[in-house]
Amino acid sequence: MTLRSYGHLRVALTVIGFAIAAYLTLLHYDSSVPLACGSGGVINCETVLSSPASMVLGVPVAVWGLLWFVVAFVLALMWTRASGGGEPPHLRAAGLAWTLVGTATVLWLVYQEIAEIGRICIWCTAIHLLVLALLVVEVRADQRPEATGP
Amino acid sequence: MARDKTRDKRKARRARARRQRSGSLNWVLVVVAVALVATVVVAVKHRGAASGDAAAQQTVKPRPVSDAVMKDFESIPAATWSAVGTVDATPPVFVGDSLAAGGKPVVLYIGAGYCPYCAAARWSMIASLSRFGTFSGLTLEESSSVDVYPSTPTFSFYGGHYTSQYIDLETVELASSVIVGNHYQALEKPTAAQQALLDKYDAPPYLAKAFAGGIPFILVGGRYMWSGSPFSPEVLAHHSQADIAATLPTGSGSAAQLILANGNQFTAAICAVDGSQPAEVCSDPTIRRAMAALPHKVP
Repeated sequence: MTLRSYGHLRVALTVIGFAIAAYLTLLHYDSSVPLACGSGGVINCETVLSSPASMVLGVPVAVWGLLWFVVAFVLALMWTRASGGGEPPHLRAAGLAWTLVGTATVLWLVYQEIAEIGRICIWCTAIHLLVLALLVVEVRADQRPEATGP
Repeated sequence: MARDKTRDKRKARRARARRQRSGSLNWVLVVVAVALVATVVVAVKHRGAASGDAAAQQTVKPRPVSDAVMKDFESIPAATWSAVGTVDATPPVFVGDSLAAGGKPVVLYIGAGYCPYCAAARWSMIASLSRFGTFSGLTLEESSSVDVYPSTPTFSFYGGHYTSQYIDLETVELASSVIVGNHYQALEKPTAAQQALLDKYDAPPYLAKAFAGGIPFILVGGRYMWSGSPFSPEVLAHHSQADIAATLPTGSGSAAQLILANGNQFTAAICAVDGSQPAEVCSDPTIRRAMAALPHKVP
C-alpha cells in the first residue's frame, strides 16, 4: 500500500465517522429521527444516548465527535495532498496527536458504557472502531519508506 | 566519490531514524491495545461492584404531591372532558390478547423518571385513572435535565398507590431522574411476566423496529398498547406541576388540552376492557365515540 493509498483510506474512514456522528447528533436534537438500534438487553442505544455521560460540558458527545471527525478529515485531506512528496513532519505529528486524543476519548467512553451505564450503543462502538482504525492507519503509514521527505 | 559516500551516510541515517520512529509508533499501538483491554477489565469489575451497591444508592428524597394538585386531577368536570374530546390524541395499538389479575383488567405502565416522554404520559394517565379510582403517595418528579425536553415537570409512580374497584394498576419506574455517579439511579425491575409483555408488544409488528423497546410502555387490559409519548413534552416546559394541574378543571391552555384529550383516549381503552364501568364515565358520548374508534386489528 502506498502512502497516498493510506491517505485515501484515512479520508474514507473520517467521512464514515462523520456520517455516523451526524446521525447521532440528529437523534439528539430531533426526536422524530428513528433510532436504528436495538433497545433491549445489553445493546441499548437509547439508554446510552440519554445517559448523563452523553453530555460533556453541556454539549452532546455526538457533537464533540462530529467536530473531531471534521478536524480529522481536514488533516487527512492535507496528508493526501502532501503525501506525493512525503508528508511534512509537523502534519504527521498533528495527525498522530489528534488520533491519540480521539483514542483516549474512546477509552473513556468505553469505560462509561460498560462501568457506568451497563449498556452498549452499536453506533458509538462503530465510531470507536473507526478512531482505532485511524490510529492503526496513522502508524502503518508512518512505516512506509516514502513517509519522510527527500 | 566523496559526495556519494556522504549521500549514502545521510540515507543510512534517515533509514535508521525511520526504523527507530516506526518502532516507537508500534509501541504506541501496543500501549493502546493494553489500555483498551485494561479499560474493559476495570469497567466490568466496576460494573459488578456498582450493581452490588445499587440497593445502597437509593437516595431519592420524595416530594409528596400536594392535596390541591391531586384535587385538580380528581375534580375535572365531565363537561370539560367532553369539551376537549380526543382531538390530537394518540390512539393505541391493538395487540389482541387479554390480561387480567384477580378478575380486574390490568393497566401496566413501564417507564422511568429521567424519560421526558414518560413525564408527558403520566399526566394523561393520572387524569384518566382518577376517573376510575384514587391515587395516593404520588411524588413530584422532573425528567432528566440533560436529555431532550429537559426537566419536564411530572409525577412519579414510584412509592405511590392506586385503588380502584374496576381495574388494577401495575407501574414500574425503572429509574429516577437522579444521577448517581454517571447513570440514573435504578428503582424497580419488571417482573418476568411484565418483561415478557414488554418484549412481546413493544416490538414489531406492533410498532416499527426502530421504536422497539421504547418507554413509556403502557398496556391496557392486555389489548391496547402505547409505546412512547402520547404528546410532545414541550407543552409542559417552564411550568410547575401546580400551574399545569390548575388548568385541568377548565381545560384551558395547550397543555391541558393535550393531557385531557389523551386522557379521554386512555379512558376509552379502559372502558373497552372493564365492561364500561363506571357508567357515568363510560357512557359519556365522548368516551363512547372514542371507544367506537379504537383499533380492533393487530397491525
